Amino acid sequence: MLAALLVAGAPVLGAAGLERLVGLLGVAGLLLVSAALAAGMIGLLPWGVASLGGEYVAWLLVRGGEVDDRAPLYAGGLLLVAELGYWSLEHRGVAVSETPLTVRRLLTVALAVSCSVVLGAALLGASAVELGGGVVLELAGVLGALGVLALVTRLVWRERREP
Amino acid sequence: MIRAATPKLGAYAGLASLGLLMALVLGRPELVVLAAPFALIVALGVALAPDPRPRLSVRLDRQRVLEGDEVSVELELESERPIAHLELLLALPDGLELAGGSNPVALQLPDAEPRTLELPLRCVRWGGYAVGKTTLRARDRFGLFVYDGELDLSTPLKVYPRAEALREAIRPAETQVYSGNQVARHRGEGIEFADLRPFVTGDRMRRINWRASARRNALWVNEQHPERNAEVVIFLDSFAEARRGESSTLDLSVRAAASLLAAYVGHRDRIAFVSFGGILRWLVPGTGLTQLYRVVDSLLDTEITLNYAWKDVDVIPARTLPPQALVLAVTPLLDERAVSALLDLRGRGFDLGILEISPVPFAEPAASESEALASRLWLLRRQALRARYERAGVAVAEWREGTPIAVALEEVTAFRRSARHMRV
Repeated sequence: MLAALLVAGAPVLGAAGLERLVGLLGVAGLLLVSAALAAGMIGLLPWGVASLGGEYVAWLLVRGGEVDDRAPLYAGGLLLVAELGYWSLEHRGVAVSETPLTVRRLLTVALAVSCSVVLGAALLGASAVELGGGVVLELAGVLGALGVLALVTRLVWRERREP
Repeated sequence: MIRAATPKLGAYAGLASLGLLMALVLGRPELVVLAAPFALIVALGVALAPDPRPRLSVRLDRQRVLEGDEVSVELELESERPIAHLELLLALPDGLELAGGSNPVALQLPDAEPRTLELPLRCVRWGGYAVGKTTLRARDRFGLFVYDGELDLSTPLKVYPRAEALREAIRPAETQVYSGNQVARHRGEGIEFADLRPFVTGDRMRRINWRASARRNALWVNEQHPERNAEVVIFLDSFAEARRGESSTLDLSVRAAASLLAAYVGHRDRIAFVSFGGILRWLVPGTGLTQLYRVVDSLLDTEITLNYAWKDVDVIPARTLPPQALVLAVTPLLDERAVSALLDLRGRGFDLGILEISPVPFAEPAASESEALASRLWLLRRQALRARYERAGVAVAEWREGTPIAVALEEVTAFRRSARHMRV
């Protein structure tokens, strides 16, 4: 919850006017995450994370202008909220975890969040490289993104249908 | 093990897709940055999903214990591949409870070395159990997949009822021909003094009672009661039970029967067993510890089986009820079939004693006036039933949990001592 509060509060901190309104999405995200954790409704958690992400997107759109350098930190924060949320919900089972297992999971979450920050920074850096632009490059980007989407969708679809 | 995707997989894939789509629509690279970690975890999770094949073995430190004892279950886990998260649940049958440790437990199997878990179990109730049915659930490193499996490595565990030590058991009216610890009613070679009689030719010199002979100026000899064994049939009524929570009249009946069996085997008597109920079980008479274990094993299988068929003593094999045997019935006197069968046995001339396992403490307290009236009527009917048995020369002693069985048995003995031995 603390991680979700930080992620929700960061875009509206020191904001004024219309930028404050995007905080409503953050509040919605917080409510969804807390409802998911309190009621054990695992299906609500991704909606909460999406709302928190939506708050940041709305803030970007309202703000406009240059690329936000803090995006990797938001990505790490969102991943942290999601990972800790799922961990909390999984932990509601009656199984008692051994200490090495808890430590290992904590390290895995920390590593995943750190990697996401590094990956985000690398992606932002790559996006800043001037390649001259053009339709071909734009098309390659769109096709690449769609390809990643198709690949992930296919993998997930296959796993869900053929357990 | 059966693999299934967790909700996390769909959620992460959905978040990644949403982020990438929005990035395409809005043309903001920050959205790619937001979506990338989720996409990367999904891709890595799907690509690196392991196929865990844990092997498990279950061992019990003892396979025969007494009620209330503890037994240790050793679970040895092994896997060729490391398992990041493994949950293990050992199914515990009713009557066994965890005395320590955690069940279920979540652990990791980092390498090929076997892990051993010890779970102490307390045997709360007598019975025959199968321990070892285990449910396993493994998760991958990212928590995107679960692998469920069940292993049935059942090991038998027998929990014997804790018998009360009885110094004295009910003495049978008649004894058999073999030597034992019961003092026979007839006279012969033995230790217990019976009577004096005049000397006749052929009497041994050592049997002459010199003091009596000197007083009467003629030779008188001592007569003794010989020590013989007896045949005892434990008749367990398993037609019906009264239950409240974990305790029932059947539980008490089995404990009482086990105590009686142990006492008679200690006296070197031949014991037989009849479980008269929805399912009829019997064991022909035998003696010694082997017979005791045979009967107690049979006791463990006793359960209440609903059956509407009318049964009488004719269904019991004749060899199980030897003539002149003492039949000790352990019954809550709840089912009309058992009540009639016992009267029938008495009518056939069997030496019968009844240890009544009182169902009264198991009855719910009356909540209204009509219920109180019904309860009083029921108690009066039970009293009338006891009187009916007593008129037939059968001793009925009530036993309730918390009081020693020996007290109830003493009541039976006292009745048999004072009551006229009746033939009906």
